[in-house]
Formats: sequence, C-alpha cells, structure tokens
Amino acid sequence: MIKLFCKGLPYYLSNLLYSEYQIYLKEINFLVKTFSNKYSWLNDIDFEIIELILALSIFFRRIIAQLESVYSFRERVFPTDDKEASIEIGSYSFNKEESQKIEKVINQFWNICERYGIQIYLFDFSDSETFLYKLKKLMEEDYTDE
Amino acid sequence: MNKIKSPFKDINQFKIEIFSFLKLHKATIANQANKISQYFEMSAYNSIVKYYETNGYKVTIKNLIDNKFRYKLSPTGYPFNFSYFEVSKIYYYKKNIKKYFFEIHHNLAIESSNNNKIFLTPDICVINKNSLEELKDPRYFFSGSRHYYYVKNENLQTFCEVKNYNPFPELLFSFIGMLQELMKEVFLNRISNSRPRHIAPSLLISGSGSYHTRLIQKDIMKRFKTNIFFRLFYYKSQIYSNVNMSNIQKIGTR
Repeated sequence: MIKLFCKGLPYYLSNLLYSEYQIYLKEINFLVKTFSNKYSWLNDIDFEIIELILALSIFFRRIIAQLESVYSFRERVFPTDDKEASIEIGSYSFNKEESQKIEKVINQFWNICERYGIQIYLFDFSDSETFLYKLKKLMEEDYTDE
Repeated sequence: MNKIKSPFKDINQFKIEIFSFLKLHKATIANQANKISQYFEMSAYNSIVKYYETNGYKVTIKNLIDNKFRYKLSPTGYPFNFSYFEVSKIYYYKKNIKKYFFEIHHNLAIESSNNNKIFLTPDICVINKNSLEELKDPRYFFSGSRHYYYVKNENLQTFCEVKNYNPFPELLFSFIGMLQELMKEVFLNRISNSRPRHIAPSLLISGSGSYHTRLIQKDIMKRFKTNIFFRLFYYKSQIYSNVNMSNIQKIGTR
C-alpha cells in the first residue's frame, strides 16, 4: 500500500516512508497473531483498510505536516497577496504561486479525511497498539452512527 | 451537510479518492520532497515567534532582502545575509518607559557558558538586539577565507533545539548537555526572575512519545526549568496557545 504513496518521491524519503510503514505493519501482524482475542474485532474488517489508514498516517506526518509548516510560515511572514514576496530556502524560492499549490494539496488532503470522519487524532500515535486502539474507536463511531 | 462516509464501509471509494489525490498532486509533492526536512524546523521557528506574540511582544520581521525572507538553513553563512524576527516589549514604570528588544535567530553560533573559546549552534536562539560579534582569530576561519560570527553567552536569553524524530531516551538526555553548555545557570537552577520573561530552554520534538519517554520528559522538566514538547506534528499550538501558557516554563531576562 505504502508504495503508492511513495511514487515520485526521492529515494531517501520514499525509503523513510516505506521502512516506517513496514515496522508498524510487522508490529500489527505480531499483535494480531499473539493477542488474537484482544484484536478479534479486526476479523470483521478488511485488512486493506488498516494498511491504507496506516499509510495515510505516515504520509501525513512525513509529507503533509511538513507542507503545512512551510505554508503557515510564509503566510505569517507575508500575509498579503504580494506575488513577489517569498521565503528563500537556499536556492529555492517559496513564493505565492508555490504557496497556493501547497494550500491546494493540504486542503484536498483534509477534505478527503473529513469526508471519511478521519481526524488528526487518528494520526497521532507512536506505537501500533495506540494506532489500533484509535482505529477501533473510529470503527465503533462508524457503526454507532448507523 | 454531506453525510460522513465510512472508510470501513466505503473502502473502495476511499481508495479511489486517495489515489486520485496522490496522482493529481504527484508533481507538487515530488517538487517539495528535497526541501521537506527543513520545513519542520521552520514550523518550530514560527511557533517560537508566535509564543512571543501571545506573551505581549511586538514582532517585526528584520533584514528582508528584496522583499524576500532569507531563511538560514545551516550554521554556515554570514548571519547578516539572512532574515530574522525582532521582538520588543514595553513596560511603563510610573513616568518611565522601558523598552526591551530581542532577536530570534535560526542557526546562529553561541559562545559556551563554560569556555569562551567554544561555540555551538542551537537551532533557534533568542538574543539581545545587535549582539552579533565577529571572532578575529584566523584559526576558526574555514581555510582562513571566511569570517566567524557568534553571539556572546551573556547576550543569549534562551534557546530551542528542534528534532524531527520520535523521542527516545538518548535524544532527551543529550539536551541536558546543551543546556549545561549554553545556559549553565538554568542547569544549576540559578535563574533570573527579571522581566520580561522568555520561554525556558526547550526541546521541540515532532513525534509522539512512548510511556517511557514521557516519564523522562516529566523528570527532566522537574529537574531543570526547561520545556520538552512532543507531538509537534499534531499539536503545534501547544507552544503558543493561551490555553497551554500556564504549563510552559519561563525564565527571566538575564
């Protein structure tokens, strides 16, 4: 699943995303096998959804969160519509045009998440147990909404 | 209002939306990819500036070059070629007005508080206005061809170290070393209470902590007047929001 998120990224970044994803996935598989009773609720859902949300979380923290950072920095320094005003990061110029492109990426990412009831809370985890706990909460909310 | 879809029930639709999003923005994301590691530090820098704003300081952007904010990427490079923020605060003492000015820089060399021949570069530092010095010792210059600029330790007010990692014990404890080197009085708990107040030396970490690292975080913050922030990917506002201000440790002006 993560490979689809890595397409077009430079090696060091795609490798970072890929290895982080694999570490969590291995842990999840281990937890599911070892504590099959505790994680029996996972039998009711398609495992692909776990992979997809995990990949999305890693993509958020490694890419989207970073883009949000540079976007908000530029907005703070140049809150007006001055097209020439830019943040110079080495030889790269982060101007209004670039900022608008990034804004589009961020907004669209959050629009999709919002449509599926996914909030930043779900992405905030450092271990697989927390991730699964939050996923379970999301699933319960989904089914109570019915 | 649109009904919220379920990723569990509409997985195929969810997948299609994600993949078309990735396809549509592939070029923009790939174009940013090489710079992405710098962006977290930028966000931390922004948050520290916002902290000062929340605490009643007036913020001014300084040294814009042709209407461009030149961001200092590394410790090399002459500081006067880069942009920074100036923060100021005014106090009224009956008829007297007292103004304080500080500068918030990124990647600026600071003299050690233990040895004035040693310098190190925290990611973010708050210094007194116009306190940049040039070291006139050719041994420090790169092949004798460059100048060396730094700030005297007495002019440092506070500093922050930014780490784009998940916290781990060694990372947290290494911050104590920086604290001891840069702000010995905070390490020894001999802190000034003079106004205006600054954010205490802080370690800013992007990732979420485990139970163990959270214990270390609490312990270090109990032993030294410092802040260790976790989860900055998710909650940047914990540094500057009014709601969290009472939980943030502060130190007086030196």
